[in-house]
Amino acid sequence: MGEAVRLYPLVFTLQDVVTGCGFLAGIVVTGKAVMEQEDGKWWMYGVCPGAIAGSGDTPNEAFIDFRNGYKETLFDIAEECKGFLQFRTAVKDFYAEDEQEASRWDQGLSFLRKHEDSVTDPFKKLPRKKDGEYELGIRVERLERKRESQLKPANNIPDSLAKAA
Amino acid sequence: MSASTSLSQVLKMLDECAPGYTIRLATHSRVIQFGGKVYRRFPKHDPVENGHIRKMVRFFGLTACASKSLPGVIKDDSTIQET
Repeated sequence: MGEAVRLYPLVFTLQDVVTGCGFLAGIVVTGKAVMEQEDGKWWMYGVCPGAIAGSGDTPNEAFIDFRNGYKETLFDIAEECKGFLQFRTAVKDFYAEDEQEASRWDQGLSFLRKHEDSVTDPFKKLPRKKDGEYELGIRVERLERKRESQLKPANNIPDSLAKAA
Repeated sequence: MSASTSLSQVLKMLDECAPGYTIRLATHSRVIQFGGKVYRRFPKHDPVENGHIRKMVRFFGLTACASKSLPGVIKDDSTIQET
């Protein structure tokens, strides 16, 4: 058994539909975060988007809190009611990377690669994603102007969480 | 709730470490602006869980200063694991 892994580098994908003032926006994000135990709770800290954290008694609860916080931030941006273009700009700005957190993510990944045998549940059960198997970024689309033929169930993306590998 | 710090202590730290910052209430959170960056997800409740404070401090790059202002919350050795 290797040294205990304490900082988990994660990759996630989330899809949301947000109603703004006069527009309907579809947002798909693939981002990075780290998760660790602090102060007796699990914390999920965003790398990109960098200005967000979530917590819970379990890693799954921390992810849910992070996910809800992300969605509420999109709602807050929509409530500024400055139009779709400003909404899209603000959402893309929100995706900005936290450089210090990115450095921790890299450290966590390097450590994880050396001590994979010491990864425990629930992280052990998480799918693994290698660099190149995901594309980081955030996409903001104006849905109500799409043609009917462009709106299809194949566009639906489930929430996902994976550990970087 | 895990270990927390009063909002007034957080604002005092920002006064010292992030001069010129602004903070406003949105519907679901507080929005802090400093140095051309926007932190949109700072909690509305008071006290604030320390994890949220640590995240905001890292985001704005205030660790060295904040570790002096809030030594029980922020530690300057932000490296978590040796690799």
